[in-house]
Amino acid sequence: MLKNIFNLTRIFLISSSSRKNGKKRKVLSGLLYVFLLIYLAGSLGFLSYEIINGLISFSQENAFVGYILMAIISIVMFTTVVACINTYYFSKENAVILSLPLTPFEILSAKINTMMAYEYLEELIFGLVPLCVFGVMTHQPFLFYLFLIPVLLVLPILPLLIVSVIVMVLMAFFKGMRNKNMVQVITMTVSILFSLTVSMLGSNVSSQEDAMNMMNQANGLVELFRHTFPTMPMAISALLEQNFLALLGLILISVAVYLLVCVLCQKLFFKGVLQSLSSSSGVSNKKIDEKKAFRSKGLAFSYVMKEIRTYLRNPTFFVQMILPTLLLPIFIVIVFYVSFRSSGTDPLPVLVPIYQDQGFAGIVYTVLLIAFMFNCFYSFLPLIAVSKDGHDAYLMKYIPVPFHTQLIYKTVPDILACLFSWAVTATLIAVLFRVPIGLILMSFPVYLGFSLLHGSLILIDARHPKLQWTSEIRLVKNNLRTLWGIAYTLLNMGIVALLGVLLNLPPILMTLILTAFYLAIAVCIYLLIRKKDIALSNGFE
Amino acid sequence: MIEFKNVSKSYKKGTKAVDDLTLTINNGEIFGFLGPNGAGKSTSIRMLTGILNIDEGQILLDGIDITKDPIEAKKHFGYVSDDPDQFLALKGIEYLNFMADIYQVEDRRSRIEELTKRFEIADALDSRIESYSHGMRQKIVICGCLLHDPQNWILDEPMTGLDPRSSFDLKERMRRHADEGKCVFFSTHVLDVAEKICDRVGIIHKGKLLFVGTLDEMKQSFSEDASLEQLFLEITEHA
Repeated sequence: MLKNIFNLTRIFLISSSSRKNGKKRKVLSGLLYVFLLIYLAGSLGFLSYEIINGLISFSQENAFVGYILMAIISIVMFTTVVACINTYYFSKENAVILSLPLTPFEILSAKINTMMAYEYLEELIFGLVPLCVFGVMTHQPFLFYLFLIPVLLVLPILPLLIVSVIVMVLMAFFKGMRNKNMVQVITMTVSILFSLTVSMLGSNVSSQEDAMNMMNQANGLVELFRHTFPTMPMAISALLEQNFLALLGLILISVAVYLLVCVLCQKLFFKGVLQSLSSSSGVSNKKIDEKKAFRSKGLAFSYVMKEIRTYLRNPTFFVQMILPTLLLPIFIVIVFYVSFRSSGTDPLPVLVPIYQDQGFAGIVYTVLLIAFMFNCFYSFLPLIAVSKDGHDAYLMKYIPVPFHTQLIYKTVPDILACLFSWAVTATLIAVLFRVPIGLILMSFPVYLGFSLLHGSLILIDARHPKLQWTSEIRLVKNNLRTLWGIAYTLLNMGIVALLGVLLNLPPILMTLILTAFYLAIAVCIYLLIRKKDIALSNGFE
Repeated sequence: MIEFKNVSKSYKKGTKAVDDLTLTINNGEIFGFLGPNGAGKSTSIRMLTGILNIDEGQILLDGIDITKDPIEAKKHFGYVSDDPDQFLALKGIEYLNFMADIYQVEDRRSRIEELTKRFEIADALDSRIESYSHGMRQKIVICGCLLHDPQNWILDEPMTGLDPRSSFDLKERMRRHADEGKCVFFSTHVLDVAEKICDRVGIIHKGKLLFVGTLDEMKQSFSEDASLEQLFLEITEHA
């Protein structure tokens, strides 16, 4: 049984990765990703260093561990919602796996293990690095690092299982949940609303008297996190107090729940899978609108609309790629504003004089640009723009349209999404924080250049697209290429910070330099891809 | 007209998927490309359509080199791939309009109406392709390919999944297209179909073209009384 589970897990993981690269290319791309990971780890490490330094000055450094562990649990729960629906129920391999002589227990265990593997990838970046920085800065003993590994391995199990069980119950008992598109849109909308509410409530709680009392005790703030999730007290004790019993408890509870879910939910899982396989949205008998149906709108419009329709109509792409870019700015600005208001301080009397002081203009403009750029932090559209088509991508090679022209059409949805998030953020901060309109408008050409260059990340995908995926979620989640998007945003934030804070340039000069910089690079890239059109199209065969 | 001139392709060093293929498909003929699995049929078709690079040799479509002038060459064919699961997120009408925009079809309304009625999918055009059955998906892909009335039809296993009526209709269209002085190049595993409609067949095995000619020529060369199936087995087994 264990052998079957291990083999199945291996197959699920292998089938989600493209293995067509040659040895030399594998080594090169491996080195590149190592470099990228080091760069990201460095950036996150630096960010953690700054936060921990800040917390140390309030004697609340232990709260950082609480923050990170809570963040891991939140990320696991949030990402598991869509990932588990796809992995458990709408994976292309389900039809084949069900016909094999495997028990539901084996299949379910392998599916859960596959999900866990995805989560460990995220933990490696967002959990391990910050906690190691914490360990070094607070001079933690060797046991801290020794306990860190099992804690990180075990911590995602419970949140993942909780979400999985909820999804399994919904899939097994609600008829409407058998349509893949509907399931994903409903669950993701609910989870986003849930996250928003939790964040709002969280910012309220931390502002109240209890939080103030905790703040007054040395490392009292960490107590706030102990009761946020069943396994949190054990995880915190295991790490901060190096409590072996707490670690043992965490492991035993997680393993016991894992086995319990595999045993108790196997029938539930199977029922849902069989129903999802037998469901179909069906062909509608609706007649086409003959007045509009046959209208020619030109190749560029038609191609871009095809791309936009693919993103909007595929729930995974929509929820994982479009929605974060559109919602993240609203989410962040509102949470910031609510935090200010709930702490009893009106930000405007503090901020307005700063805007008016010309000495701060460069810094205000820098913060503004960085805030706008942060909107693209989770936008990975250009990094899957070719891969998302799967086998349809071959069309790019046999239609009589130059390859580079198609690549440009494919970047348009990303540029539009970035510009939309700029417009939303600009409106919100102009209304809520009264940032001068002139300064906001001045940022537009810079942001446009930034977005154009962000679109050019498509070259990374176009060179070697991953066309052999079994479910969309694997392309989106199990894709290290998306790290390039984060790296690009961090790099640009760094450039802006360099100009605005270190060199203290005035906004108008920053705008001119950055716009010219972005446009020059964009023109160079355009000329390059035009020249290398055929060579680029040879990236996939 | 389609011309392969000494075309070779290797995926691994030392193993040729297609080895020195020289073949001409003339205007006015239906050419059936036959061979066992992994023989090199799809590789040849993918090189012909520009999906795969050619290692050696040259492929011409109506005299235009697919490598030297790919955009112009691609205007001269319509291609149906062996996988009809394409553009599932689009509605049938959106897919056809997209193809019409790519190939700049001027009389798109009449072409779409004529083709979709003929293949009996006119009523499903407002539905997404993901809701179509396998056969319906195959039909919409064929409609998309034929929309701009290309000079050369390149069809990779086009009958797979089609119901008898649609299969019959496609064969009729292939015949009519060839009779209009145009060219049809298609691969198939269904030897009965090849026997009935092809003017000439080519048999490829392990990347090498073993035979090109009419069925009569094949019988003369091998066995007078044998069917295409028997001849095919004989040729490929003794290669």
